[in-house]
Amino acid sequence: MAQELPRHSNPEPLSQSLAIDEAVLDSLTPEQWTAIQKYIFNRKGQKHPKLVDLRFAIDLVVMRFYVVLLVGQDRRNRDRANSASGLTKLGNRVAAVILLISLNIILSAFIVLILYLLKAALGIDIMPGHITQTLEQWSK
Amino acid sequence: MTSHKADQLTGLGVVVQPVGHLLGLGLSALMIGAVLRLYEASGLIWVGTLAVTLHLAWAETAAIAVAMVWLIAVIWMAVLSSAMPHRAPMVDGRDWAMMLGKFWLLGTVYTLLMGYVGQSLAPWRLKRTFGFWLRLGVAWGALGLGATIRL
Repeated sequence: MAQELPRHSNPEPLSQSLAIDEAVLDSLTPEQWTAIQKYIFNRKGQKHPKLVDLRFAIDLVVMRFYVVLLVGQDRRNRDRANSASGLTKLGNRVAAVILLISLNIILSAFIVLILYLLKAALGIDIMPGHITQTLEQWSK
Repeated sequence: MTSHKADQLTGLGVVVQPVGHLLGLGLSALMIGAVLRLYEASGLIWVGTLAVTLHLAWAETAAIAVAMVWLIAVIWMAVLSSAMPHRAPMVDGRDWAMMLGKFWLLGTVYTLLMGYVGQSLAPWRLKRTFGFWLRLGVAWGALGLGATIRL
């Protein structure tokens, strides 16, 4: 299928994104330039639907975070242009672990609460007395 | 996305959808207020609920996660303290659990209505500050009114 190329009257934006010296870009013939544009357009133009594409923001009053969860078939290049290293990598790992633990606690509280209320609503008595009495007994 | 949705609504929809959303929000807040009074909720729970409502009115959908965590915390507090309406204590544990489950559902509906009311009001093209006060006024007003209802 023929795709119409985006028209770039000025190669400035591409020269920035490609990090190519302007003198080198100026030396390109129109055919070479068109070929590069076509390559970039094809790379950017391919959109593959994700199995999961969840994006939302979390406002914690003092800070606002965004959360993006993407799950899909891996078609990415193996090389990473901006892979973190050193302290940044460690910081990322620590932040990810804290985030996952927090999420785990909240989800667990949610699931246990649902299960407990369901159990109580169905009249199932696993242990005698209320949950607090059972917890007190366990703590002694 | 909001403006696109606003463009889709025409004629009667511009009035019906936002008014319906506001009415639903007011009704759910009214019920929440009545339930908190029925269970003689502590000052901490009242202050927390009002604060979460304020946060939802300001940050809209971005505040839903925090509000859900607050809701889970409140229901857990109710479970651990065996919260029961003093005027009509329930002997049967099944009724007690089902009541708490219903209140959890009510709280979830209220949180979602509060979080998305801003998007429903988009066709009215209100100023951000006015929209915030409108959402907060409806919610706080209904919560306060609900607290006067004796179930």
